[in-house]
Amino acid sequence: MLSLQEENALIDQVLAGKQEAYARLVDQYKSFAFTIALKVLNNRPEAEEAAQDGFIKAFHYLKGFNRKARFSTWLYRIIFNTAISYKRKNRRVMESIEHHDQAAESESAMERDDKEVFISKAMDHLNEADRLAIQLYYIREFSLEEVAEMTGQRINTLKVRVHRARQRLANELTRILKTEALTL
Amino acid sequence: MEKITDSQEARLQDFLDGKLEGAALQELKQELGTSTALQQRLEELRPVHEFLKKNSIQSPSTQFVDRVIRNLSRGALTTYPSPKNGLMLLAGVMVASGMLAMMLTAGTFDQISGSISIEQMEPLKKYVTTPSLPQININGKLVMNILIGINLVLAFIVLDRTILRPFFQRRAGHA
Repeated sequence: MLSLQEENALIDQVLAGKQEAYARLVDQYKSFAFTIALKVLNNRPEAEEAAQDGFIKAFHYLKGFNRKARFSTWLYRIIFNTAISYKRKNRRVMESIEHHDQAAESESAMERDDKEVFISKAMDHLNEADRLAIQLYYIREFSLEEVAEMTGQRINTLKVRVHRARQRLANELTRILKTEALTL
Repeated sequence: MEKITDSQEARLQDFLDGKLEGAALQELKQELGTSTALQQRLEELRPVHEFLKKNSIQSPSTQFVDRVIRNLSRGALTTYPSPKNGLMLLAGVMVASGMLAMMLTAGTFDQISGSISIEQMEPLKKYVTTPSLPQININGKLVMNILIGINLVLAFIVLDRTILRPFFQRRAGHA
């Protein structure tokens, strides 16, 4: 993890024209950025492309970064918005890919714990905003405040979404387990 | 069977998140000791919490950094509208320009010329006290020619942003 001084020094170097410094920033934040894009898009190649595009945008907008927030928070917001615009653009294509992914997932489901499979299925029934909120919230090291900043939502709205999503997942899991028990 | 309240549900979730401390934590633990419904709800929420905690950080491909750095000069792809939207916009602009040009050649705007006196405009009459405002000369043909010119410039920008630039960038990216 880079300290604030190191981060600022790298940003200064990038603004002075050193692309190697930007490579260090990309290397530092690539995994979080890619994970955010993956949570939005649910598809690795698309997420990789969106994350790359987000980093390129951030590079071009870097002059406008006012350093009031952490670079990472600012960057993740760009990555999130880029991934959302990819999702809107490729919605039709994504639907068919997601369908394919679900089929592949059900094949590997046999190897996993039943409860996990049921929760995973229940996730698909959550509304888009709630699903994203809970997935981003559970990415290690992201606080509620950071996710709110990233997604441009108010903290209270986000908290309600996270609680509601978890509540619905628990209810759905209970319902499925009851149904399963009855069919045995 | 007893039902748990929304407040209890919220506190259970805070408990799972590790956000309950001190007196609030003790209070919930006491309630959990006496309420089977609360215990049951905690056991329903726990697997969901554990499942989501496995939400691990994913790594992109090994060439990720190289690709970003290689494409820095290229600019961001998503700043352009999709080719489909671009083509529709382009078609709209061209149709509008074509119609204006046809109307212009048919002489529709030949009669529209003259001057407008601001002082004589009904809503403004009572506010204008000194007759010093200039008259505005309007030539219908000239106005339409300017509009057609603006449309053509707009059409070229749309063509460039939605079709030409993304096409050449993609070619450069594959090279």
